[in-house]
Amino acid sequence: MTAPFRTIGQPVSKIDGVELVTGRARYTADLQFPGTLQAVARRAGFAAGLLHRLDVEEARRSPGVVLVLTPADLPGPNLIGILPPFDQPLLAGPEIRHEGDSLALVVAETQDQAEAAASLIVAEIEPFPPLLDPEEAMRPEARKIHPNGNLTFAKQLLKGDVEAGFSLAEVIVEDTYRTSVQDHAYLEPEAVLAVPESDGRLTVYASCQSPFHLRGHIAANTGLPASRVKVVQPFVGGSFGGKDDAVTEMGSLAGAAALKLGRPVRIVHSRRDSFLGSHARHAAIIHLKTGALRDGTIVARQAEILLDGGAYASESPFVVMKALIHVAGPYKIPHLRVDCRAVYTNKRQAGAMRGFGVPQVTFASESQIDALARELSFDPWELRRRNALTVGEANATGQVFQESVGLIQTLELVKVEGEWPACWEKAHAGSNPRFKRGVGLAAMMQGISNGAEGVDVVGASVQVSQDGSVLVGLGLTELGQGSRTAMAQIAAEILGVRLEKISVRQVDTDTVHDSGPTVASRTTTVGGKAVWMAAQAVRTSLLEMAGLMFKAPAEAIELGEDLAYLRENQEAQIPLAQVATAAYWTGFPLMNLAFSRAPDAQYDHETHQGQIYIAYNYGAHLMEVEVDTWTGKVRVLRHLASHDVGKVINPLGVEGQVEGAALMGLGFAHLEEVLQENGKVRNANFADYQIPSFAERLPTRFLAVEEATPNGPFGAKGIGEPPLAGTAAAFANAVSDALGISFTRLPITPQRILEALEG
Amino acid sequence: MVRYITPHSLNEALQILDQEEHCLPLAGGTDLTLLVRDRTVQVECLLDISKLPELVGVHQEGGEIRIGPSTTLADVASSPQLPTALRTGAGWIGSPQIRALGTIGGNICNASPCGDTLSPLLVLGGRFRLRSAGGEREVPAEAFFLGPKRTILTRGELLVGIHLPREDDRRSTFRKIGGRGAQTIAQVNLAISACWREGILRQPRLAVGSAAPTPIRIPAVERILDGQSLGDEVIAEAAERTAAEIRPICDQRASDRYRRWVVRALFRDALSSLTEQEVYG
Repeated sequence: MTAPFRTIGQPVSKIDGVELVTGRARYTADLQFPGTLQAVARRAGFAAGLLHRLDVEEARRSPGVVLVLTPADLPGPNLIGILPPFDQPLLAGPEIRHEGDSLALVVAETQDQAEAAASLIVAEIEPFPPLLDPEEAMRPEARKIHPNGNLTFAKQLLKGDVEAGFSLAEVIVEDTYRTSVQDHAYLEPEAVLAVPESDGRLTVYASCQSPFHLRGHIAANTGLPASRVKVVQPFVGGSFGGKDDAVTEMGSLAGAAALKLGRPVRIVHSRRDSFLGSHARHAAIIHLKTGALRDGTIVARQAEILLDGGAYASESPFVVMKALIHVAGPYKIPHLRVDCRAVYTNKRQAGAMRGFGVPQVTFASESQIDALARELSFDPWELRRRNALTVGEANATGQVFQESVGLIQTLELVKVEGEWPACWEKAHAGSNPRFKRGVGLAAMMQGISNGAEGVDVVGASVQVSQDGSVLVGLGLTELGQGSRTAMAQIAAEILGVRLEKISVRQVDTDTVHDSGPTVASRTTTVGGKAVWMAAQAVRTSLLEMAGLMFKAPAEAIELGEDLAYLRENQEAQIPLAQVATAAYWTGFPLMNLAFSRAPDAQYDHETHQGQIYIAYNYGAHLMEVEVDTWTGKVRVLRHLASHDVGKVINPLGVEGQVEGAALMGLGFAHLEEVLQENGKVRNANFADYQIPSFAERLPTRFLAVEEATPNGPFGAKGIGEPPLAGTAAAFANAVSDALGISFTRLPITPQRILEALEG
Repeated sequence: MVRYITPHSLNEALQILDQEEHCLPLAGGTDLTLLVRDRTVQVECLLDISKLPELVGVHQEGGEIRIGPSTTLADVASSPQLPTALRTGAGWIGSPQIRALGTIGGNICNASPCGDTLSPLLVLGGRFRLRSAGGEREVPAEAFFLGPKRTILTRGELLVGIHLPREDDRRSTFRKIGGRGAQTIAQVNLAISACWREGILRQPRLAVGSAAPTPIRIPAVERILDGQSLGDEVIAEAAERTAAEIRPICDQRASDRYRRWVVRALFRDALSSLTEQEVYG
């Protein structure tokens, strides 16, 4: 393939954009099957306790009710989770571990009837004093939430000799940082629809993120072989990591009920259900200490990270590893010791959420870099630049990349475009007694691929029809991030067809290899590679056929604009449809199932030293804010977000991802916090849990750096998660700079700002 | 099953309210339908008063303006003959979709202390006309609210008119703070009205919402401001006094301390806007 590209790097609209904005896209709650029943879970309502009696008799007799499922009615192990041993029951009891534990599932003809009946269930619960503070839960005398105690997972990272490192340090800064629980707040709450088929199979339509994970748990919990379960993902209204565990629970329960009744069963979460029964971002307590020389060289860092995992393990083990690896930031620090733990508490369970531990530790790390700069009287940009990772330098896990480390380029871009440090001086030149301005910087990195979480494989299919149109299938899901469009662009580029000729179908577990979860900003990189491979295989057939038709070697032929043509004589053209038709009748394969496997992580499990991620996304952010010292309100005046994405596949898609992640980062840093009192969520609705609205939209400007990785298609690296952490950290530093107060806890709400100002 | 009734006239509506035991009037339904859906409110029938011509529209009648309670918040927000504070307050409620359905009468009768039309109505001399099958009475806006979600309306009684005196030399303004910049419930809101001539503030009225069980007037501050030329000292004293006079709660939306802090800013901003001059103090 020779540059310039026809489709790659072009700003193209989402290929499913019209369906999405016209309302034609159908979501799980919209699907219609004759005889569909609605189901509602009865939740515990207590953060901790012992269920002594569950009486469902009145609910069973309630109008319209056809079934009430209790734990005894479930054919399988009644357990789900991410890593064995699984610890989350579909239906809880006798131990109640959080307010949102489901006790029974009521299935009725209508949603109203199911809800009315669920309220008739009598649950006699002896409440325990809930364990809510993760530090308290770690005390030896604390009540055990699970049989093996309250430590969910713990890992250590060791690099160099941290004591020796600190003994070299001329300056040491140390602080404790805290972050809060953030909800995914997707537009579409979780939903599943289980349909028993006439051939004994079960189809589950699910607003999910990882259909193969779902299939496995539904099979185990319904007693069906996995090959008899088909999971189909319709359009999804956002996921951000959230639609793994909760949807697994719902899919397993709906599947069990549907098989029992022989009728389709649907569960659609209300917003309240979503707040109580899904998995949010881990709250974190991060103790961080950094040592440096007077010349700004960082020599050592030590961190203790405590993640509040809530009632069940879910993704806590993986979030532990990600936080562990990323707390050093994008810096070359020779001596590191990091201890990271997740603990059980009697709260809503934490799981995957966009950023996956990185936003928490990036906030802590970047706040501390600013503290260090103040301590050293050093320009904060220079301090970051001086310690920035480069090609050939070892990162926190000792991994050395020989390419695709564009951190310094991102720092340079925000410096030039942001006119640092002149912008800082200008911001502080004003003398308005009420409105204070400040500028914040942040640098960050985020691993792309599953990394330490295990094998990273993706299946994809590409088939070309005789008319030259193309159908692409992928085992990773479109969640609104634009992956369908990116996959279409990759296939279009390789096959030389116009984008309009490409369809990317919804994920259906019957049709493609188990591709693991859609996580870790890996879809474009590892998934795109699979599409790239499948398309290359079919391209070979087309080139060989065209060669026969042109009576020329395949190497002399190029594909583009729905044509095959001779490279040396571009007037000599054959429509691709004719080539495809001839290829079919000549017997060339026009479909390929590809299997992409990222290089395996290889590392020491005691020290986390080794090769972990196949690439990192690097970024630098600059944000200028104006704080109203009378109200605590913050206006973001400027936001530059530069990321090394390897290669931009679709500029519009990248901008959308950067802007969306940035706004979510603003929510994390400034507005959003799931409030829990005595283990009960107090703001389980969008009136009281306020996410940024259009009034808060950021003036984000994305600045691309393209340092290609050999592990992604055309060099591309993921961008879905990283800007969230960068934005949040830059916001915190900007507000701290404006007020001359170091904020060590997120979110920095207007109320917290006034508390800090008023004392 | 909840019955839904569409009356043809105001009289018919009042008859139905008189006869039905558990009947609630429904206008925009933006609050009520959620309560019915969640079974928070037990109701047997809903009486749709949103289309009754007697209850819709903004009318000038002699020395006063009459607003039909079923007038939507969007229409209130865009009626040029209405005072600034009321239009601004109505325009701050919810989203465009909510304002297109929700009504001013609904905002009043819902009696949430944070209702954004309530503090404006208090400072504009608003009077509410209440009618039942048996008769009619008129009360000042301040006498209408008893507590969160509680009013003086008795069974069978309907809010049929909102009356504002026409005071052409009175200016008014509204300010609000919520969790974010739009589509947000007030942590505190505030309305001021006054005559502002030759640098002197006369007959000021000040009301604050989300700062007590009902929206409240702050007469102590009104007395401080009356007849003043708004020097820094007066403003500082009035702002502090406003913060001291309110009785806010601490809940999931804001702490009581935060509400007291920001009410001073809202007060100063409102005064700046009313007098079209920067106010510090």
